[in-house]
Amino acid sequence: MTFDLFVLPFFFGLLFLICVLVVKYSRWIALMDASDRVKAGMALFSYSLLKTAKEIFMESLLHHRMFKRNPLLGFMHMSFALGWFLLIVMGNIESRIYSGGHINPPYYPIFLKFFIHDKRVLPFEIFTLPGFFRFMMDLLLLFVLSGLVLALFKRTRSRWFGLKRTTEHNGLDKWAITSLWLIFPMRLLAESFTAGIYQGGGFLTNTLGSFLAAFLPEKYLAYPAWWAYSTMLGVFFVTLPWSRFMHIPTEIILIFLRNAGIEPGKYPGSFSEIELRSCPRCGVCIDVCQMNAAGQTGSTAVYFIRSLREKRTDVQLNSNCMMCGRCLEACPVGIDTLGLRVGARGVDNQFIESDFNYLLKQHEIENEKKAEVVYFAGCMGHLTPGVTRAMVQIFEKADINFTFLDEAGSICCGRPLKLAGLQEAATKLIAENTTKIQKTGAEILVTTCPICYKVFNNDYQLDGMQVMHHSVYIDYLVKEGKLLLQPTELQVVYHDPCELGRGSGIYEQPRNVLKQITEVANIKEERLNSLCCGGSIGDLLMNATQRNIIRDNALEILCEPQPDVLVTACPLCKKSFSSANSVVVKDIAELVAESITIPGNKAKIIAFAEQ
Amino acid sequence: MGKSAKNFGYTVTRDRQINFDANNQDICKIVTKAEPTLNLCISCGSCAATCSAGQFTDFSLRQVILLLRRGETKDLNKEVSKCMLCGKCQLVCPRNVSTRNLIIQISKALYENKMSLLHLENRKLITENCNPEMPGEGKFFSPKANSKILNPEQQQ
Amino acid sequence: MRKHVVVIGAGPAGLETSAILAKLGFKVTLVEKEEIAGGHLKKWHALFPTLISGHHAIDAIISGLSEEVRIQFGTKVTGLEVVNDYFTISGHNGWQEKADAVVITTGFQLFDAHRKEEYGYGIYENVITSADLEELFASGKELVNRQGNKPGRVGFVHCVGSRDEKVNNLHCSKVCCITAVKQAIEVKQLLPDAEVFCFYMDLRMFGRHYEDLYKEAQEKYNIQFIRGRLSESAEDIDGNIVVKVEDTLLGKPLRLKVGLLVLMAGMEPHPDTQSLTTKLGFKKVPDRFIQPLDELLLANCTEIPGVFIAGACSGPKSVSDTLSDARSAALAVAGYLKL
Repeated sequence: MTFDLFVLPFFFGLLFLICVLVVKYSRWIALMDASDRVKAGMALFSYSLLKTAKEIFMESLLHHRMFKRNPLLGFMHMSFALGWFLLIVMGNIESRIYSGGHINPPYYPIFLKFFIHDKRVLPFEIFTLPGFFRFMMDLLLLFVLSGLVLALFKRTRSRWFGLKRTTEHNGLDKWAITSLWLIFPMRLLAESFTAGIYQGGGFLTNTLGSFLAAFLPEKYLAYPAWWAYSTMLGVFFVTLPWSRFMHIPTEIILIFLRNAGIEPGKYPGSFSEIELRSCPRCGVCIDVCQMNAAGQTGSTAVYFIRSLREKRTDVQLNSNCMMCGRCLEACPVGIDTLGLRVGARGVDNQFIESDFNYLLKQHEIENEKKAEVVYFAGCMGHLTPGVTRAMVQIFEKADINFTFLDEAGSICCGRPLKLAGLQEAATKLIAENTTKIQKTGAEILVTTCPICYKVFNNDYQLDGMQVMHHSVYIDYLVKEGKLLLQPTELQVVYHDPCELGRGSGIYEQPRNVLKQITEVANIKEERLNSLCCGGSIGDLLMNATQRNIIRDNALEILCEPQPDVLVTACPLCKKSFSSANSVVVKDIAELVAESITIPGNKAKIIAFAEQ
Repeated sequence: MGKSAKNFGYTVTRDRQINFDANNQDICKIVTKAEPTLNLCISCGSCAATCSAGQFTDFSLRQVILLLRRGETKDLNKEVSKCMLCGKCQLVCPRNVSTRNLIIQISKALYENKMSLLHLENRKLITENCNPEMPGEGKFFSPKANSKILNPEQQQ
Repeated sequence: MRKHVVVIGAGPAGLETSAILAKLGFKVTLVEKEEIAGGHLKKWHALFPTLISGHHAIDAIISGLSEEVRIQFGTKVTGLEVVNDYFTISGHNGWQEKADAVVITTGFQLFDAHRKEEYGYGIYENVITSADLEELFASGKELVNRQGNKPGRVGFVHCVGSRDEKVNNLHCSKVCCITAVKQAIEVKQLLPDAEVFCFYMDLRMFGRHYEDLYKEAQEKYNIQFIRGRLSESAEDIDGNIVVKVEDTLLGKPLRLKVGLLVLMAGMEPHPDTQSLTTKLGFKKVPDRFIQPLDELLLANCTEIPGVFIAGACSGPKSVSDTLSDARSAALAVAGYLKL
């Protein structure tokens, strides 16, 4: 026989799930921009498909990023994902062989041990390993169950998994998790009871079955156990589309679309709907979010994403985020949390009208000097004249033909408006600045502020101009031999600014420069894991007291090696850290300016003259 | 005030004087609730001194806050639209006023006030055309109603 | 056996307290971390309203100081222990004394104007502090800027490091306003052709004759008072300082160039005092000055009986306030010890 009533919960659950998924996904894909749909279609026939397959294997099954974060955590997630996947695959192969190659109904491999419960030796097994499949299936079941045990432990002992806090799940998620957690124990019981009666199981189910036969009436318990197993599967499937486990199928679609070249993080939009449902609520973003330490636990990415999913506009959640990118870095799915926040802010702040017509008069001003290098200090740069002065000294000592474009004052680069979700307003500022910058005819644009740097790089169309942050430019000058630096005895710690490090991928050039003049100590949270100073122009809501808590927490870690100087490459970070008045804070440009020796050729001339 | 008092003595022209009693303080209250640090401002002017927009046009956050507090909110939206949200003001404020959020909340309060006024206008238009002696029954096509709808300048 | 009092800090407060205590018949040891007495006062050129110099004031106080008062110079107090009913005071160099009562007169620290980076102190040559200017007056040298020229304009910036959340000093330093007006007049006396500006948030002319001085500054010396807090300064090619301020009374931004910019640096609690009070277990207060037992009625007493305070260590004070406070501390000590 290949049918029993008990398979119906599973069967109808699965059918329901498939229908819901088809409806939802087709609706989202239909709502996508036409250009994105074209990209997706083309990706079906391109090499990106291989990349997608690899990523699905590495992340959705093996949970590689989770392993890097914490091996036990990675193992726990992997055991469910990979274990269940292999159970299904191997079960299908097994059932095909058992039934002599016929195509079976979908429930057949799942409940195989109900239908085929004796110790049949398969033709395949005669020449290889007797009981191979029975062994493998039991092994895989044990694999999944080990993950389940770990998951139960994680609820109370999350620290073992490297997590101080875990996600607080709501209503339907609790149902979904409960059903998921009961599926495999039910399978174990059902198969064990059956094995106890017929001895047709593997090492696990046979052993358990015989053990339980001693004090349980397995003959009467087996059938209800199969019903329970099927029901748990059914409940799981029915709740899945509205629970965290929607990430299982949605993640695969996300990976495919992302590799097809579709830009993530644009909210509202149907691609963002797919992103929002790819969040597995794993909770890894909670610990890395520095705002938790400042008592602001609600804004963390997982809860923010939940609010968007539930269409519960919460301006506080949207606006109160430092946009530091630590959650994006930690997310095993790679959801573009920053882009989503900016999108949500764009919706919240629609009422803001910006009128920058007063800038049009700037067009008429023709005082831009022509030069090879144009230097843009930026808004924040003006409040840290120590840094801008150091840059001017560096330009002069290296004999550079430069113009300090905004020496007398500047128009904001536009990124603060962007971060507030006001893209359209930002474009007006970008247009004005672009004109001014291009009028200098320079080849290189050097900027002091990483916030400006990011927007110049990504959003400005500066033809024929290379954009460099001043730390990168200094590194370039040193490499070209235009700057000679004298080493000092200083012990320093380098702080990676959010916008320069994670935001723009620049980690090595500042360190290259610093290593020549100081001794750079390593700290735990650096490069990709660097800490935010609290100064953040991306947070629209936080007050000074809360920012100071974040600043102090960061300083504690940064100053562990007790450096002489805390070096940073961002004027906002400099202002933020120096307000604590606990350690000397200097920009990399300031240290470099203080260490410049006379350029090589001039030194020779002086030495010659003194002979 | 009696009719005779209007033509007697000195009257300060209405436009010059801030009529604090007549001004609507509600917008200020809404903004204060949304951004409590507004109360800390001492009008020192650091914000306006450092303002990016202030270099190019007449915009002073200090003045905006003062006008808000006095209830003089008529042209405030035009002023606030000049802000580039650059954040320099927040970096120099000696009282730690969260100036950026303040700008956003002022914009929001002014917008919502504008919307509710428009809404009230529309409702007024409809209810004015109801015969007050027969509550619940509106006469939308009376000659009086028609003239109001056709000649909006006759309102106010 | 005479009771022994140790006074920590030989500034005006410590000197006056010691003088009075000695006159009252107590044995007094005055311990001072520098090599000479006088504290910040010795650098001051002219004290309003009598316009005597800081040195003159110190000499006057010291002239009342009995020779029996022992002064221990070059010793920073690092430890203060309460042992039953007496105290053990120890210095960084191993010096130690037992006392029946202690008076903390450690004074204040001048705000380091480098911390207000946007004002340009230490970056632009012609930005100096009020303390620097006072030293310049005292030296008798010509008032010239760093380029050696007489400044055509001098600007004074009030409230630098005071009333400022960004440097964590919310308090008002009390005396900077009157000092600014005084220094503005002194500049005008040295450079009659110069234009002098004071950029203020408020003008705190709280003391007797202060409003008179303000009026004189306006009337006789034509000093311009502009209500607007400096946000940042910049430098032009000639070394002049470009001041960016909002003229709040007019409601317009104002830009002007001055040849010399003077920052009125405020008073801050001294970190050494803070570490001492932490060791004593005093309650921490947000403004970090020492908290007396009752600011109205017991302003010289602390949480620990026998430990007294006087002078700027418990909050910014003028010289006359300091001397009055010092005398009342001496009487409080006497009352404590005679009982």
